Amino acid sequence: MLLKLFTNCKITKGNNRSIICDLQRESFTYIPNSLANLFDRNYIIDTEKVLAQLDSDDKKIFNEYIQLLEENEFVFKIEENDFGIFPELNPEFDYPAEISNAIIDRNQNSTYSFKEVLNKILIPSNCRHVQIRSYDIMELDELRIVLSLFEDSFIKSIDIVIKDFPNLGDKEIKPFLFNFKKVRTLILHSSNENKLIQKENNFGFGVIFSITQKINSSAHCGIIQEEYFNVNMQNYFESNSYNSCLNKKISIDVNGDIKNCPSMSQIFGNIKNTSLKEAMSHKDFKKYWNIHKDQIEICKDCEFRYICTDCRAYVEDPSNDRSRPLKCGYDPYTNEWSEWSTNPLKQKAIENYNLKELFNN
Amino acid sequence: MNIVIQSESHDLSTDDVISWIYHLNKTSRISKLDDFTEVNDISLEMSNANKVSVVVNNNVNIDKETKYWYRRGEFDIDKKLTKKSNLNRNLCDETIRPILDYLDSGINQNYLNKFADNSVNKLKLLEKAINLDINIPDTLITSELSQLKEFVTQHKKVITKPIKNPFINFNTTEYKVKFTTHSKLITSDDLADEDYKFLPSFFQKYIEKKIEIRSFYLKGAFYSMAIFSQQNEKTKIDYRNYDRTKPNRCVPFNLPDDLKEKLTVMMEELELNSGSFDIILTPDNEYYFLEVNPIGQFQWLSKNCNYYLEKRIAKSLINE
Ligand code: SF4
Ligand code: SF4
Repeated sequence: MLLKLFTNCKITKGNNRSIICDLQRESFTYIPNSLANLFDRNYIIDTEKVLAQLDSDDKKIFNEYIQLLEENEFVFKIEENDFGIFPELNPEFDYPAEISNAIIDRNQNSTYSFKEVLNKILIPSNCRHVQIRSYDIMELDELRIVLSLFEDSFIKSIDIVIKDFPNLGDKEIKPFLFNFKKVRTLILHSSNENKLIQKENNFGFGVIFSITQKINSSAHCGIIQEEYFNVNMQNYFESNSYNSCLNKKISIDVNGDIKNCPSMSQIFGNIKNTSLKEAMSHKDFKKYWNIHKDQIEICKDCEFRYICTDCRAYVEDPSNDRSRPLKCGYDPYTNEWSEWSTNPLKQKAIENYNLKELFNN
Repeated sequence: MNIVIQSESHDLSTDDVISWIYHLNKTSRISKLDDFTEVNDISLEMSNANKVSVVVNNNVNIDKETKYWYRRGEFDIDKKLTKKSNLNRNLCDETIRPILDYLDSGINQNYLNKFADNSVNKLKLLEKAINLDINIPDTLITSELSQLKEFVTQHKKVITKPIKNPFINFNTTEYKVKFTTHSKLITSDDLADEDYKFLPSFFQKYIEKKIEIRSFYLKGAFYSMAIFSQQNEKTKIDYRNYDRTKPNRCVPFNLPDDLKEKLTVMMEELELNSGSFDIILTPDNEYYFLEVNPIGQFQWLSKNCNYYLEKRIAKSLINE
């Protein structure tokens, strides 16, 4: 029997184990490397051929492997003359805009206007996904003005992280958000409790939850966790060739400075006096866009490399631009997760980025 | 560059195509007609010097150079007006209708689909397939139970589906009626004993499937996807009986060249430059043509196979 891996199920081999990324059903499954190695160049396993070489113990294991593959519908039976009719997925990543997503940071001292961001940055770059992060309280009235502005624009989705309002009840925030259909998630930080306030109610949009964590600066960004892994086709192919965080990203930090990401130091001008064109024509603007996980130390041996974020703002060795994300506690050589912030090898970098204060709250 | 798009206001595929057009050609001017657009005002000029130019509702300009994409929706005479009186209808038919018919005949050098493509006749398609030597399932249209019984006896399993459109809306003053029908399986158990008559209905021999194929055709190119519907009881008869928790496997597929050639001839003869084919591959490796839907869904196919069809449509519109 010949079993072929569906072309939308992709094996990523790590140092010790592999995963199958199911790009259609958007999930991943661990498999041992010994199973990954059984597939030939065309992602076919010839079961008879394999079985003939195995002793009875190994046969049992092999049958378990096959069961795993079949249960998840990762493979199908194929006849030899059908080999040509199932071409590989086109691995290309393309996107109908110069910029695909923007981070807009805000605190109580910010003076730049959202209208300026929309007109000078988002519209000319065709950027239709934005994340707004407010480290301080933003009054509902102010938020309403901002959201109305985006609601009437060509923006498709808005994610908001904002400081919890005193005396703001669930009863107010839900109807408030009801009018803004483009809000995908609203996260209230510095809250009294961690809780889900509203489940998605409109094709994945309209999620509201609160967290107790105090997010008071962009230094909180860049944490690598299993829950943040993102399995989908577009993201997978983008990660294959481009930086999975910074490709096609633009950011406005709390001062209105245009950056790749608010956590980075390099500034490409201020929104008040710089056009998109001027910012983007700077030779360094795209310098991270083409750095992808296969080039990053340690990550290149990790099975999660095409579903993980590649933070470039905080890396283990700041003097090395191929160093892996600092805030990752995963070890692809032992397959163990541990707390990154207490890892003795990371202390120098933590100091370097001034991240100590993060752990005090 | 002047581009006119006729669509529905909530169609996401249209929005994606517009993103691509804007990205690929920043100077394009896109006019979008949404849903049912009433023609309130129309003027047409023709001369040897300036050829043809049409202005609709004072703001949409259409001439030979205009790129036109018909996606969905309708652009027609105000229905309220024509419903009210026969005189009105007759007047419109004599005056505005010929202009609209002319517009819909594809006056633009570069267009993609046209409103008239909606009314492609399924039976015409099957006949074309026969003439081109493409397999079709044995087909019967009848209103007689006895004839249907004979057909079922012969083929054991038979399916029925709408002759025209799987989605129909009837609006009366009191009700809005929405019908949707997908393919349904019929065996001898479903047939009553006593004879009765029904409206002429469409029956086809049920074809065993190895996989189902959806193929998007765009000006001579095919983008195909295999749907493994047979692993799932819910989707065995019609893959549109979608299973959300475990969607059928959908992967890119290559149609054989000789079939592609025949299907291209079919499209050219029908003057369709885009459409979605439904095809079956049987366990004996035979291909069966079911139908082609000129105004089909392509987003599903594009997303599953990473085909970037939205980009290809945009490119085909803006490049001559
Ligand atoms: S580079 Fe790091 S800090 Fe910057 S946005 Fe990405 S994950 Fe966050
Ligand atoms: S090692 Fe790299 S790829 Fe693996 S989880 Fe950590 S950051 Fe992600």
